[in-house]
Amino acid sequence: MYSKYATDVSTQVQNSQLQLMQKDVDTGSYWLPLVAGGPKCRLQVGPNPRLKVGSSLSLTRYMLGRGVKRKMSEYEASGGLGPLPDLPYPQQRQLVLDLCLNKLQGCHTRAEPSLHRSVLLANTLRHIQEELRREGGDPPAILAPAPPHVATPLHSPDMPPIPPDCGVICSPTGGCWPGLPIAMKEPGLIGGCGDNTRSSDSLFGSFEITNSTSYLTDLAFDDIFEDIDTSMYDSSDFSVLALPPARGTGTTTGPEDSLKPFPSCTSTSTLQLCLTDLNDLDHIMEILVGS
Amino acid sequence: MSPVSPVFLSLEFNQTGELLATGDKGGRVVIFQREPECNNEPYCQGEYNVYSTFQSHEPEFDYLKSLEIEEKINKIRWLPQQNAAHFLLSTNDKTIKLWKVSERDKRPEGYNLKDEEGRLKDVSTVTSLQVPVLKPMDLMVEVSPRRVFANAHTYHVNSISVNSDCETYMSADDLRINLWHLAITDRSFNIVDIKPANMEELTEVITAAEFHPHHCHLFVYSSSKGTLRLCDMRAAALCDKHAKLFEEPEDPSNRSFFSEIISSISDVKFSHSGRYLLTRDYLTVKVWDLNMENKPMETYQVHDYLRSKLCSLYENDCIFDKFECAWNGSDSVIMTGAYNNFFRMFDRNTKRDVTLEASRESSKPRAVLKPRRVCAGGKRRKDDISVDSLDFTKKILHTAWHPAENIIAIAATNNLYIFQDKVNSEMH
Repeated sequence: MYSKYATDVSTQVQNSQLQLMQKDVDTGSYWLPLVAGGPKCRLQVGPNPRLKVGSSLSLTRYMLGRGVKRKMSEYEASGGLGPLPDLPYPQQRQLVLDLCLNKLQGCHTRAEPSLHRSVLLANTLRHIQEELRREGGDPPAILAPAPPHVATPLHSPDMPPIPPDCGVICSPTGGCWPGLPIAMKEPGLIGGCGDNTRSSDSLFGSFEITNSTSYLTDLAFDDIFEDIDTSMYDSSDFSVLALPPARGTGTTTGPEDSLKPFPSCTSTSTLQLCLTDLNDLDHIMEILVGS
Repeated sequence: MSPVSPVFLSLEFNQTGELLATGDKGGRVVIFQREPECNNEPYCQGEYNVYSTFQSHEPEFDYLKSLEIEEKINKIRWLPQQNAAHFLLSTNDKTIKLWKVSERDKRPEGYNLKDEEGRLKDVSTVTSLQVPVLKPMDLMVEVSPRRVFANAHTYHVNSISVNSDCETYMSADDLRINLWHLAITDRSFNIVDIKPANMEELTEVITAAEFHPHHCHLFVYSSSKGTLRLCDMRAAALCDKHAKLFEEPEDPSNRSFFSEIISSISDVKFSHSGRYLLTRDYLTVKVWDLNMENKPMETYQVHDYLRSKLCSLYENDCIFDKFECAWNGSDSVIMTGAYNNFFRMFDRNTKRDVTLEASRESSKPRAVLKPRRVCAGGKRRKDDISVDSLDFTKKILHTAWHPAENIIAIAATNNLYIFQDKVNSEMH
């Protein structure tokens, strides 16, 4: 029945001239379609910028366009994507755990934070944690929801542990989403994770960083002022403070006379400019000092 | 601001199929209207043309939480038509709006106190009185906001559904469902709340919700754990206790780290009859009988060849894509989208399925869509696409089916395709 689907209408919309209350009933306009991106081999091309945001692992390794050869990734080398049948189970689990942590860390930097996605990630993470704990033979206290200032979590030798109260790190509190800074302030959350290994520290640590204005801390102090032109006031070209001895017969010398010639000044115009400014400055100083 | 290509996020036919509303990422709604069929030309069979366009939502900034509220239209739902005007509800993440779409094709002329340009006349020049008459004018479509339902959702609104009583509707976000009266904007009733007291214990969110098409007291909502809950509003004011829970036990042989993620239901739709439910999860569509809770009646594989690719789909976030699903008017065929601009249809009676592609090459006027095939290894026929060359940036998340005829609307990122089955225009 559906082998003959006739395309009667193919209406493609371009909205460059969309207007309110348009009366377009009888125009029958077939607008030019927008080209949905360029070469098919790159995942980033396309109208949806969200696809660029993701885990730190390269996206272009996967999902290339038609007929383009891909480099064999470590996943495939291990025998295939997906459930990774050829990897030993613990390594598969570790891989998924790493991916999960990467994504959870990147949750708050996404343009569109999604509670649905975060909950699914947290559940996956929790499931793996519980499996690891079961295998590691944890004391039952760890599995219970941690009271504030709980003691050390389990340390398992081959991977850094995440205690249960750190599992749902993306949980919004107080109805805020993304309420991560607020979640960070809860004593229960911090106390339990306080003495974690580096991975959970970095997990929480990364939230803190993004909450603050890191762009200032990244720059060296001088860099902030890099673009301010201080050439006119740069004193390295000449020394201002050295005053020549009085010229003559005890009359007070004008500001012009007290300036030495400056061997390092290359252009006379610059020199003149410097001199003029200094003249003004001295003049003002004289007035202020009243001498 | 330079023109931006529309990225379609919602599609909805109205109850007669005459109008098709689309919502895009930029907060705009474009309504298409079907031209009346002309019997003279065989191919002039009711094309859809732009009827009206308006800016439904604008970006907002929540100063309290330092969050930007995006203007993208998540859902559009038409109200049943009760007079000459059409009404629709559109929603972004936070605010639902009711819009009135009306036509004006007459204009009053012959005012006594105003002249033709609308300027006030000098009263002393008026010597006789006349009755203004309505004269025809060029058709103008006017859209005006009638209600704004705001400040009721803390989390992102994912669904709206109009009740069959035509007086109320519900809006669902990740953790709560609210019931509104269409005429009252300053309050709503919370009917479902799955937010735990301690947010760290949150493990499940609401993904979609819909009212029963005939019974105004029944609604269903789906969750990220793959469960469906049918609730009866007569039982209690707060419907946290479900009347029925639809859940399929997990198949242990298919268990993987991603089992829970792929079981998350992305869309739920009642059949037109009200007897069945259609759900979409990452790899399948399922038909449930309202009278059978322990397993679905039918399960259809949409793209099972992706099962071995789940890890990479997880890595590039495609595993979180939310596909919608649709019934045809007679509930005999179901449709859903997939990757590579493919969409799939399953005939429930004949058990046959087809994969079609929505692309510019395949949609020249009067061209016939060719069935496509994805080859997952094994013998590869000509024109087959191999799984590895699927384009995962081209995903068809939104599809809609005309309520009475075999006309479908497919949103492929920033292109809208409308296809019609000419051989079988009537539903059977």
